Amino acid sequence: MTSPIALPIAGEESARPRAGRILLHSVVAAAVVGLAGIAVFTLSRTINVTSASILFVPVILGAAIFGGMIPSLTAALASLAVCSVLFYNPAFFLPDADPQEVADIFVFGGVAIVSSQLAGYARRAAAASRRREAIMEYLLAFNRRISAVVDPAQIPAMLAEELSHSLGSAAAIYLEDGGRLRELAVVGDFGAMQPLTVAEQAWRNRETAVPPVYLLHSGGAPVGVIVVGTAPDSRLDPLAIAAMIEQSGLALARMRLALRVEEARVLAKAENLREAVLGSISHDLHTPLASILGSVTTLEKFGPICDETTRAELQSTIREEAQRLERYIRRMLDLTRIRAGRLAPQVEPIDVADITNAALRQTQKVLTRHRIESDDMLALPMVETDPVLVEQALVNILENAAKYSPPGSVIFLRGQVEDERVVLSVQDSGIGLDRTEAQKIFAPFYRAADATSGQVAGNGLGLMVSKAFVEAAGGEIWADSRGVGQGAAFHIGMPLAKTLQVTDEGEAAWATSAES
Amino acid sequence: MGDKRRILIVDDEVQIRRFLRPALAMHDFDVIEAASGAEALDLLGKNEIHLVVLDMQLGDQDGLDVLKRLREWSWVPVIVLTVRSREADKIRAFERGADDYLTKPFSIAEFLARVNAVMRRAPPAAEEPVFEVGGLAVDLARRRVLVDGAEVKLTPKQYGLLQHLARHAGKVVTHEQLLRGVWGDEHAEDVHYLRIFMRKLRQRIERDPARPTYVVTELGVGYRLLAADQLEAIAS
Repeated sequence: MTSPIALPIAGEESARPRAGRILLHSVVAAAVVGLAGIAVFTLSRTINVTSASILFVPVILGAAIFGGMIPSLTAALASLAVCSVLFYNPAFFLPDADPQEVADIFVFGGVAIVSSQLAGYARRAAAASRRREAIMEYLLAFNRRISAVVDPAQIPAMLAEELSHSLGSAAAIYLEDGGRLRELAVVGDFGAMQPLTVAEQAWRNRETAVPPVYLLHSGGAPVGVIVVGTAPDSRLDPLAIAAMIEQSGLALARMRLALRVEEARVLAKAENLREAVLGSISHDLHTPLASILGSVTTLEKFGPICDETTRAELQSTIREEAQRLERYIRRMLDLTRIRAGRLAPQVEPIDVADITNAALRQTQKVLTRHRIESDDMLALPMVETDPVLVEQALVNILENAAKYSPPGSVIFLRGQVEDERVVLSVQDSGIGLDRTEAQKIFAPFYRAADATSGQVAGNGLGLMVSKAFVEAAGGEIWADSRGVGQGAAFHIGMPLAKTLQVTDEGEAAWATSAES
Repeated sequence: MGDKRRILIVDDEVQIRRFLRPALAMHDFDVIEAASGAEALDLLGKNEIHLVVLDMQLGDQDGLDVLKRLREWSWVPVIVLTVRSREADKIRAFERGADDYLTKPFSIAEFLARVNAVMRRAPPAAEEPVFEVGGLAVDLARRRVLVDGAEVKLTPKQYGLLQHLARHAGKVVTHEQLLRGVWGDEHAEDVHYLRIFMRKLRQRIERDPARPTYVVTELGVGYRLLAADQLEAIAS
């Protein structure tokens, strides 16, 4: 986790220097002038100094650069005073003063004023550029952090966190949604303040940037409101705050756009799925109903004149199609239960044999044209699962195997212990799967490519239901295949039940390790 | 034979009543119908009825409530009709005193076999001393079990289980009923015991313990020792 970056502090250079500091600078300047005077005077005793006053100019210049106008003027006055005491003749203050001395007055004063102005300007320019740099750096880091957020929905929370940290107070973000403000994120404690009320008022009155409420804009139009707990610390750079608020507005507008695009995409996908469901329902309900109605009306109209075989055929059509309809409705019901979250699994210890026997009993009629070869399921330890859900999943898998493998072929039912679980497998000799199909096969409405040609009836819901059921029962389900045309295998993994050692008298003791 | 046995069918779907009536009439039952729970309770109070077929989803009230009201004063056998996806209803129906259940849709053969199983033991006095199904015979008076004519030795707990099932042959006996009956109330929740003992019992009495034919597991509910006509219905 990266911690939020600090908001730049407004530069002290831009503020007016305090009087104490000016005084200190002036005193220092005067002292330096005094020292310089003593040095020049000592020097003039040994060598002939023709223009001593020139030597004071650097001192005045220095005072201008480091101290500003007042210290440099002080230095100028001090220089004049020193010169008049040490070098000028006593007639200095008379009207017939030495032109050199008059020139010194102008030189000292001019240097002090001009250079202090220049230095002040340079200092301000440097400060402004430093400040701009700090703000730019801050915004760059701020934007980098926003763009690092992968999920657009996370942006408001992150922004509020950032604002709260930077401004050192609570922060709340509201975005316009259908004409009203919607709270997106709140960080920190607002105390007695009602941020939503404050935000709504600002939104109605279109108050712009009156701390602690900021109206957000994007493309010139208001999009939302940011409210912070207290007016920001006056030391924080107001320009940086304004820039941060503006960036937040842009980020939120971007987020809203991204969410809308995503919403549209999901909607389009749901629309496609709905179409597929409707198409499938319409086909799967109408086909058997058409056969039933057709057969019944034929029996009604021509029954008495039909021969016995024809009547028997029509009756078995009615029965088979009704059963097909029942299977389909059962599956739709299962699906509704899954979607409504009403599976409520009842997990209990159970023999796998009980589950397989019940499933085989259920699928007896569908499997009449196939041979079932089963492992001895009693050799397996007990499992802990919801037997009803697993049985229904197994029924779907067996029906699937019957549908996709040629009549007369063998369907293998295998059971083995693998990593603390029992894996039940159904291996058919049907059209098989390729590697990608094995992954996709549990998705709703998925059907094997060959099956979509219409030769095999089905709606691609059975395996999806199986997966939901097995997982609800605490198991796993997966498919594999040795390749296209080599049959498919479906596996259901169920956790082992705790092993109980029981004597014939009914005394029992829990064993710690698995053992059959 | 005396009076015909009388069955009350309680279902708000006229189609269901219409298809049950001729089959029952052909099996010498006197059939009366009720389309609502209130009507059913009224008829039960006024007539001598030997069996009730009760749908769980009635127009005016829940079938479970009708069952509860009925059980306040009558022990007439009841078969409830449920729909799939409402498995929890089965257990609740047993708790409230149902004798068996059938899941819609069902075939008429299945329905008649259940009706016969429930009717057979309806008067407790008529309990037969020897129960027989296929090659299995349980002599309840002498505590002897024969499989294909040969006597099989069972431990007391195994025999207890089989005896319990045989007394309710053809009907589902719930896990809880078996555990309370054989192990006592403190083991009512120990389904594990039941599974292990059922495995041992099947090894003694079933021809193929891996594909049991006499004692059938009703997943999530309990066990059923098939009656002779049920065994035939499955075999055909």
